[in-house]
Amino acid sequence: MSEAARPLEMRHWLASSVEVRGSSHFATGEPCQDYGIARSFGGVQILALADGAGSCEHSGIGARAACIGFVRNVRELIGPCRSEAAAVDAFLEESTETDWHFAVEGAREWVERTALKRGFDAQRSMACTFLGAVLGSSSAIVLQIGDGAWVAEVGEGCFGCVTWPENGEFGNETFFLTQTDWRDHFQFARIPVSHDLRSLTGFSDGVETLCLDQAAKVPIHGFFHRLATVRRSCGRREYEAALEQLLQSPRVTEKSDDDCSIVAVCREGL
Amino acid sequence: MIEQTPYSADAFNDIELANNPEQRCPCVLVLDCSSSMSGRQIDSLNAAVQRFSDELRADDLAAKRVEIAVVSFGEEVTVLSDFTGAQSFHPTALVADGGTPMGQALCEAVRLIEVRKRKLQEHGINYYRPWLVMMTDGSPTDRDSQQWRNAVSLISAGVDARKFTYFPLVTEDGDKRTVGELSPQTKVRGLDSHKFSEFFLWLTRSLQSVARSQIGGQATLPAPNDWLTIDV
Repeated sequence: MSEAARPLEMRHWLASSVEVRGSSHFATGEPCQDYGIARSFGGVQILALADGAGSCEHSGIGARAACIGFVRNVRELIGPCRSEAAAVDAFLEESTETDWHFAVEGAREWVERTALKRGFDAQRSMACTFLGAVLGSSSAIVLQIGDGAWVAEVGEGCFGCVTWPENGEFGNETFFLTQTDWRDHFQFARIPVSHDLRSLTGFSDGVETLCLDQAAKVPIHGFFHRLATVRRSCGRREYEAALEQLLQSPRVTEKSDDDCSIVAVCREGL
Repeated sequence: MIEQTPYSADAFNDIELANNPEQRCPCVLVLDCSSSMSGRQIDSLNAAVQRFSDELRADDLAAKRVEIAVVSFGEEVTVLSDFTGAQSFHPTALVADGGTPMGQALCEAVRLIEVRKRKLQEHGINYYRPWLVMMTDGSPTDRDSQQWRNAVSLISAGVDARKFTYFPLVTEDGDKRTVGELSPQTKVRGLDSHKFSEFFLWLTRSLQSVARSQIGGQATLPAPNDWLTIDV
């Protein structure tokens, strides 16, 4: 079978995860408070991204704990699928939103556990937003609490927002994984096999000003298309190093001084 | 040995970046221009507002993000300037004359804030919580009017719902008790009338700090010690 004729579901996912400390954090000596994970477990891809609240002292630690806890519970959820892509796809298509609350609970519990171990208050000092995604060979589940967003390419060149940043009335207010009413702010979406999924990108609020048209509420096509094109042209390490450089360059820092993080997967060879 | 050329940001030379407008920090100044302010006080206030405008304009980020409106109250309530980006805000000279229709002025300020917020929402522009700064040297002459009752209701509800940050300032001879009726939960600050300039310097630093604060974060404001004389 020629490369061009190879069906989508037979093309591997190329994963990546990049976090960059914002220029304002450099100025104040604060660490990067974003954390991202993009891992493959056999036939399943798990993506997680958490953005620690700037006002919370240990939110970077909270963000890391949230991502680890999410991955643990997702693996438990899909365990019976034995990492077989078709079985994972079937589970992703059939599972309910409530099933995925379990994955979020995993993130919350890991933050709590870390807080307890270190003597922190999880809600006050480790608050973070959260984005998670799980992909089989052709379908995906995405979920989110707070700001940042997921953008999917379904069909060639068709980029759309699967979720949208949730802020309060004011730009500097959002909602956190760690708050007790997190279910009221839970965004959930399923991308079925039939949707011809080609790439999926999650990003923190520091990236929003670069890649979303806020007035029209649409993603910037030329941003996501370029990310996927470069990712397909090189290895993961090279891509992540290049993207880090871009996110630290004046082109970006003149638009955003916050931490920037991006987790993504795209199909190989398109 | 051939050294491999690493990938760099050049790979993203043609990436398209969004061109969203800067997030905004609206601030409305509600200033007492009654006849009791005439002479040295109004001159000093004019100089302080002018310096406030100059310093905000000199700060690139604050100039793009801070928006200023000015409402004066004296002979009448006047919107001297509707919300204008700090980069193009040039204050009109304040003239002292007439009474102290504070209630009416505050109602007008709250209206300006609501209109501005709607406009920003329509254009998909993020904004910080607006600031409402009210400065007086006297007592409201419209205290028995419906305007005053409306002002009490609007300010109190606005502070409760955290719709704006309310900052009431009263100079030495001002009626702190009556001003305090507008929002019992807000501390009315005493302001030395010789220190308008210090207050506006503090306001400049504070707005600069807000304009630099992270989305999702909090701004740390400078201590107000330089101008603050009395806690009421």
